[in-house]
Amino acid sequence: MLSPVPSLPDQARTESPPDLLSVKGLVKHYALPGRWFGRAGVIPAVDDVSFSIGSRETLGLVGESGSGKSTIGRMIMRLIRPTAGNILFDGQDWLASSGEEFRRARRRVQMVFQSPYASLDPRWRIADIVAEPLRTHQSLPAAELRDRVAGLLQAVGLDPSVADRHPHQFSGGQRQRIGIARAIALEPDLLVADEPVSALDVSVQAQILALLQDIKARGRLSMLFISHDLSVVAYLCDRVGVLYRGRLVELAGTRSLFHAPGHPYTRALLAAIPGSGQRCEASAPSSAAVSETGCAYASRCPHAREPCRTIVPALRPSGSGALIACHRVGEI
Amino acid sequence: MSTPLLQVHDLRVEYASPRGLVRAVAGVSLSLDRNRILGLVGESGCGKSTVGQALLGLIQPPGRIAGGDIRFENRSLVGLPEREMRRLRGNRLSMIFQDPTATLNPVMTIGDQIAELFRWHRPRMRRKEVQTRVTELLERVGIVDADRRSRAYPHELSGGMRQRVVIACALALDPALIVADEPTTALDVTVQAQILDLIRGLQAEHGTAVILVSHDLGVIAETCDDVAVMYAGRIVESGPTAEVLARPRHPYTAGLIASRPSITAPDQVVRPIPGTVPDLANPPVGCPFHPRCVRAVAGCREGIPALSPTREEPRHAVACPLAA
Ligand SMILES: Nc1ncnc2c1ncn2[C@@H]1O[C@H](COP(=O)(O)OP(=O)(O)O)[C@@H](O)[C@H]1O
Ligand SMILES: Nc1ncnc2c1ncn2[C@@H]1O[C@H](COP(=O)(O)OP(=O)(O)O)[C@@H](O)[C@H]1O
Ligand code: SF4
Ligand SMILES: [Mg+2]
Ligand SMILES: [Mg+2]
Repeated sequence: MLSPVPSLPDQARTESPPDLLSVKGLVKHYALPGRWFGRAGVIPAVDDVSFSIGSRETLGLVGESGSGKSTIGRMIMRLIRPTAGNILFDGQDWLASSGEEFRRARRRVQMVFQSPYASLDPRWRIADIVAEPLRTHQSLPAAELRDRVAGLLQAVGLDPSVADRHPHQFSGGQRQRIGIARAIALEPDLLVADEPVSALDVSVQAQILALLQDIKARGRLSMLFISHDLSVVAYLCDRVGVLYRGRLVELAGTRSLFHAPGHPYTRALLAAIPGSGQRCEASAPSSAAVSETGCAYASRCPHAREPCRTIVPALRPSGSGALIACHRVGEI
Repeated sequence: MSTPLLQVHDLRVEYASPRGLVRAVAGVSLSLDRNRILGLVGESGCGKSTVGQALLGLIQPPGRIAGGDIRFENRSLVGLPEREMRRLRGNRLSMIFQDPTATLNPVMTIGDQIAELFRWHRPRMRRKEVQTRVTELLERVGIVDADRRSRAYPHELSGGMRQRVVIACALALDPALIVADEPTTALDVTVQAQILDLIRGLQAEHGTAVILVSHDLGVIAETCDDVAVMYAGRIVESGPTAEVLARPRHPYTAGLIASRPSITAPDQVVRPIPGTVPDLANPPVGCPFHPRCVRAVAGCREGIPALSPTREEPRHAVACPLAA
């Protein structure tokens, strides 16, 4: 399943300060339901993915549903274990840390979930939901804890008087603000946000985007921002990784990705955005299984040629500075 | 000029709920000609689906049509006996829902489901002809290898493919009007683009009129000739899509546009609309948008503004006295 070529050549790394998060050769296999022997019995949900996030940087992950975005987020949060690969957080082996060391590191990485409905316990008061991470990791006097909670609620645009109420009394957008207040309570270094605005109405989506941007501007926060919505990613992210069937097919600066997409799949994605004024160049996604070998996109790709069906293209630096996994980059 | 295919006049739909009466549609008027695609856009809960269901005669208790009229092909649909409504549905009028799995029967092959429509509405059609029509329909909605695929069950198809089957069902009997309620919301963006192409193609080839319900202005911009923007159960702005999106007059429409980050100008700051959509069991008095409106003046709390044509472009109408 692993690509035969090294996934991220060393010359692709720059001399800049060490990355906050660095993910290398990440793989996650799930057993295919109903079949439990043979190589065909697994879904490569994430297949040899490598990227890094710098301090204060926001990296976007895009791709259609099932492309492995959430699985990557969950592996970074240590909610599930990778099948292979490693994760460095602030230079330390993130997957190996345990006990007190992990507990201390853990507070530096927080998550915001997609569903503002499912992610907040309905029996808890807002004050307790927001205070919980503070209680777990710091022992503050009651008065100070109250002040911190009030400050956090204010920071996400809620009136501190809501502290005594319960989640069901709030709209989707307000709940997402509560989820964000809780996630930033410990002043994390990295926020993993998995589709945080996808369940919200357009006008409320904009409120949350403005809030996230405001939090970014105020602190030294880095963010992994997962979304299927390219406009939102274009707005919030410094760099963007494009996933296709568990593989990273392009990783580039936001401006370069949107102005000069290199990978055929990235181009198809951009062209499909309603209002982009372009038409889709890709053929229908086939329900046929992808071939075990070669480029995962080959069955849909209008540019596929001989090597595409047999050799997995490695993620390589292209002339423009982007990393692209396509045999025909430069020719098309 | 001939009469429009569809004319809705002052439609009102209410739901009885524990919180009180929900006025989901509070006086909607619109008209639609053959061969046109009308977009109905607005945020969740503004009454878009309720309008669509009312057109198809699908409002069930605790909901009821509380007033107004729906004229379709020169007859009134409000108060039509269910038997006659059922004959129209599928035949002259049909609907495409957001979730194809909810529409399709999981234990029937897709070919049989389409054939069923002919057996029901065209009982005299020969088996052989039904079979030919089923294959034709599947081909028309872009399903390759239609003969073989017609023997597949819904779960054997991808989401996009299932939505194509739903569209084939909606088209089967050549309806004059199709109401498509968020037909692409559950689909990935590349599949969405293909389904929208398909819907546009049907209208172009067959002159079918379409009402496309969506919360996504991008989808509307790409697909619809005309657009009606709904807020709190009313149409607050309507007109030719290009005109409305280029020169929005209602502060809500302008706010919706400014809320979306633009892919072509990502540096443009999004400007959120403050607040949230109102509870339709307890809507604000006066203009329903006034609590969130940046331009609101004292007068906005008094009467409910009527949808009136603008001076420059009579087809462009707006329900805001400050904007007309
Ligand atoms: N717990 C699981 N068991 C089996 N397969 C899973 C599980 N979670 C995810 N998958 C599969 O892994 C792939 C990637 O899923 P996911 O990471 O959720 O994608 P995304 O977030 O991009 O939509 C999909 O094919 C999905 O069906
Ligand atoms: N069956 C129902 N019973 C009670 N209220 C309903 C029902 N269906 C819809 N509503 C209410 O009617 C309003 C409009 O809903 P809907 O037409 O579904 O809006 P949209 O499609 O624009 O999201 C909402 O306030 C919703 O809660
Ligand atoms: S490697 Fe080949 S099949 Fe894959 S995207 Fe590039 S051209 Fe298309
Ligand atoms: Mg996901
Ligand atoms: Mg709806």
